[in-house]
Amino acid sequence: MDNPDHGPWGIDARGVTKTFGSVTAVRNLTLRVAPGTLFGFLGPNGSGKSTTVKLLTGLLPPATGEMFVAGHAVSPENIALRRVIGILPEDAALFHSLTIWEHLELSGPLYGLSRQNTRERAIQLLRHLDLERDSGTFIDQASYGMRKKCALAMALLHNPRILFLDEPFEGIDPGSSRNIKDLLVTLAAKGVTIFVTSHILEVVERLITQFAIIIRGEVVCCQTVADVQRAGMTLEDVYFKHAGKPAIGNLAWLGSH
Amino acid sequence: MAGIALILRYQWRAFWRRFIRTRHRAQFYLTVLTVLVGAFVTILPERLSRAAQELSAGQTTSMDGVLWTFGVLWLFVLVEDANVSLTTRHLRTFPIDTRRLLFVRILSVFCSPVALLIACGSVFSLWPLLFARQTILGTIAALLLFALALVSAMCASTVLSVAEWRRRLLAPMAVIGIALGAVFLAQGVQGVARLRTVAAGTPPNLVSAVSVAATPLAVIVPLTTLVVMNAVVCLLLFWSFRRSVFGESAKQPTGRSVDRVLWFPGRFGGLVRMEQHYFRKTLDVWPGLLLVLAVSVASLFGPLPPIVHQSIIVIVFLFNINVIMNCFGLNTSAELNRYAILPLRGTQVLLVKNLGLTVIVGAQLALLIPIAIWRSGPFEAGAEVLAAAVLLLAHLAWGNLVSVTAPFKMQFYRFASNGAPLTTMVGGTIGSTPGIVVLSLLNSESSVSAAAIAGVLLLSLVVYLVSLHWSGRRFEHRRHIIAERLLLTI
Repeated sequence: MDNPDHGPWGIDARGVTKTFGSVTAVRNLTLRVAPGTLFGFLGPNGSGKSTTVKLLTGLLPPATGEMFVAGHAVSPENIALRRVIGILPEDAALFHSLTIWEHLELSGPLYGLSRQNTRERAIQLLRHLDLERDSGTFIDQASYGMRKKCALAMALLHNPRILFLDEPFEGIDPGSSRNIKDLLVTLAAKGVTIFVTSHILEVVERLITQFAIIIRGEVVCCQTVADVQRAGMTLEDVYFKHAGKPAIGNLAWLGSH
Repeated sequence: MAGIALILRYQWRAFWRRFIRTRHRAQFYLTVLTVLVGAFVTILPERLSRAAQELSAGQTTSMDGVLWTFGVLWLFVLVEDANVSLTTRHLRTFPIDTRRLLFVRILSVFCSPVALLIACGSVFSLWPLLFARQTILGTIAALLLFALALVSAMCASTVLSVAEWRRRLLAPMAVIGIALGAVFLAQGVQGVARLRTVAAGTPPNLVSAVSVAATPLAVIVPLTTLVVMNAVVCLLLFWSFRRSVFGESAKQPTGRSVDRVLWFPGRFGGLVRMEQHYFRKTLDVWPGLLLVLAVSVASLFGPLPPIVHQSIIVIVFLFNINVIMNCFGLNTSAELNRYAILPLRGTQVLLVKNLGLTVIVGAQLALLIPIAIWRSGPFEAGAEVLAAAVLLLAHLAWGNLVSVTAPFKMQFYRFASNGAPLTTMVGGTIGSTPGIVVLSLLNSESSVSAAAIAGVLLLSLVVYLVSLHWSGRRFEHRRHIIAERLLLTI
C-alpha cells in the first residue's frame, strides 16, 4: 500500500477528482509539496479547499487519481498514514460531551503515547495555545476559537510529520494566532510539511512559502510567495486576478431609516 | 397570527421533506401508522360499543380503559416534539413573543401523521359519551383529559431539555417508579389490586365519574379537579418553556462521579468511557435499570422465582435494543470524522462502542448477581451470568450489522424513535433467541445440556466476531454515508 518512491515529497497528488452526484468538487488535482514547506491552499467559499483536505487525509475516497502523503498511499484504511499526519478539520471533529483535557487524554494513547507522555505534552500544548485555564470546559460549552485550538492541540499531540490545517486562524484571538504562526514556522523549519487552507490572505501571506489557488474545484495557480513578491505583487493581487472581484449589489436601502 | 401560520407552513414543509428523504423515518411512521390504524379498525369499534353499553347502564370499566389508552398515546407527543425541524431555539431570533413561540411549538407536533391520527382517534373515542348520563359535561371532561395529556407530555419534553431539572425531577420519579414496581413484584395480585385503588383518582377515572354522575352536583368535584389540573400544568408548561428557551444553561459539572466508577482500562479506556457516557444519556437504557432495581428491592422482602430474574435479563436487553442496534445514532458527523482521523480501524471503533454498551449492560444487571447468590445460590447466579453473556454477544452481533447498514439519528434524553420497528422486532428476536435457548437448557434435566450450552456460547462468540469484523470494514467504507443519514434525520 505504501510506496517509498514517493518519499521525497511530503504531499504528492496526481489527477485526483472527486464528484458528489453530478457536482465535481475537485477536478484533476495534481499537486506536489516538498517536506518542510508551509503550503497555503486558497480559494473562495465552496471552491473545494476542505474537500481537498479530506481527500489528502483519507477522510474522503477520490473518484479517480492517486495520492501519497509522507510516502504513504492515501486511503481510508491506511492506519499507518493516520499515525504520521495531524489534521485540524473544518468542523474540528470533536466529541461534544468531553472536556478539552479529556480529548487530549484519550487521543494520546491511541497514537501510542504513554499516559505520562500524553499528560506532559497536553499541558505544554494547552499552555502554548492559551487553553490551560479552560481545559475543564466541555466542548459543547466551548467557544468556536477554543474548539479550534483543542482540535489543533489534538493534531499536534503525536508530533506528526505532515500537518493539514483547515482554516486554523478562523475564530482565534490575536495572541493565540501569533503563537500558532510562530509554532508553524518553527515546525516547518524542522522539516514538518504544513498544508494550510485559509480565507485570511494577509495572515497567510506572512506565513506561507508556497501556495495554490483553487477555483470551482480546479487548481488555477501554484507558485511560491517569493515569485509573487519578485513580480511586485501581493497575494491578494494574485488571488483576485484568478478568482475575480465579487459583484456588488445595490444595497442603498440599508441604513436608510 | 400570520407569522405563526407562516412558520407552521415551513415547519410542515420541512417535516415532510425529511419524511420523503429518509427511508427509515418513513418506515418508522408507516409501521406505527399501520399498527395504530389496525388497532383502531379492529379493536376500537368493539371497545367503544361495549363502553357505550356500559355507560348507558352507569358503568365505566371499558370507558376507563379507552381513556387510559388515549391518555398514554398522547405521550407520543413527547417523541414528536423532539423531531420538529424548526426548533424554538432557532425561532427565538425572530420578533415573536414567548406565548406565540409556545403556540408554534404545540401546533408543530401536529405536522406528524401519528399525532393527527391520535387526535382523530381521541375525537372518535368520545362517541360512547353520547350514551352517558352527562353527555356534554362528559365530553368536556374528556377534552380536558386529552389537553392535560398533551400539555403534560410537552412539559415533560421541556423538563428533559434542561439539565438542572432533569437532575432534580428524574431521581424522585425513578424512586417512585422503583417503589411501585417493587410493591407489584413483591405482592403479586394484591399489589395490583392496591395499584388499582390508587388509580381510581386519576384523570381518566375523573372523566368517567363526570359522565356517569347522577346529579349535576356530583359533576362539580371531578370536573373542577380536571380544570385545576389543566390550569396548573399549563402554567407549569409556560414557565418551564420560558426558562428552557431563554434561561441560561447551567454549566456542566467538571467531574463526573459515575464515570469514575464506570471506567475501562487500556488504550481504548478514554473512548470506552465516552461511549458509555453517551449511551447513558439515552432514555432507552434507564427503564431496564429501574426494572432491575425494582426486582432487587422486591427480593429484599422474599425470594423471587428464578424465572423472574431470568425474564428480567431478557427484558433489559429488549429495552436496550434501539441503542444496541444503532450505536452511531448519538454521534454527529464531526464525531464520525474524528473516528476517521484517529488511528483506529473500523473494527476497533465498533469494539469500543460494544465495550461501552457492555459497561452499561453490566451496570444495569450488576445488582441481580449478588441477589441471586444470596437468594438462590452461586449456581443460579452463574446461570444468570451465562445467559447475560450469550444475550449480550447475540445482541451485539446483530446490533453491529444494523448499526452500519441502517443508522438513524437518536437524541439525548429521548427514547429512540426513528428506527425501523420491523428491524427492531427482528433484532429483538434474533438477539434474544440464544439467551432463551440457554435458559431453557439450564432449566432442563437433559444430560447433554452442558455441551449444548457450551455450543450456543461458542457459536454466539463466533457470530459476534464475524459480525464485528464485517461491520468494522463496512464502517470504514460507509462512514460518510452514515454521517449523511444522521444529518438527514436530525
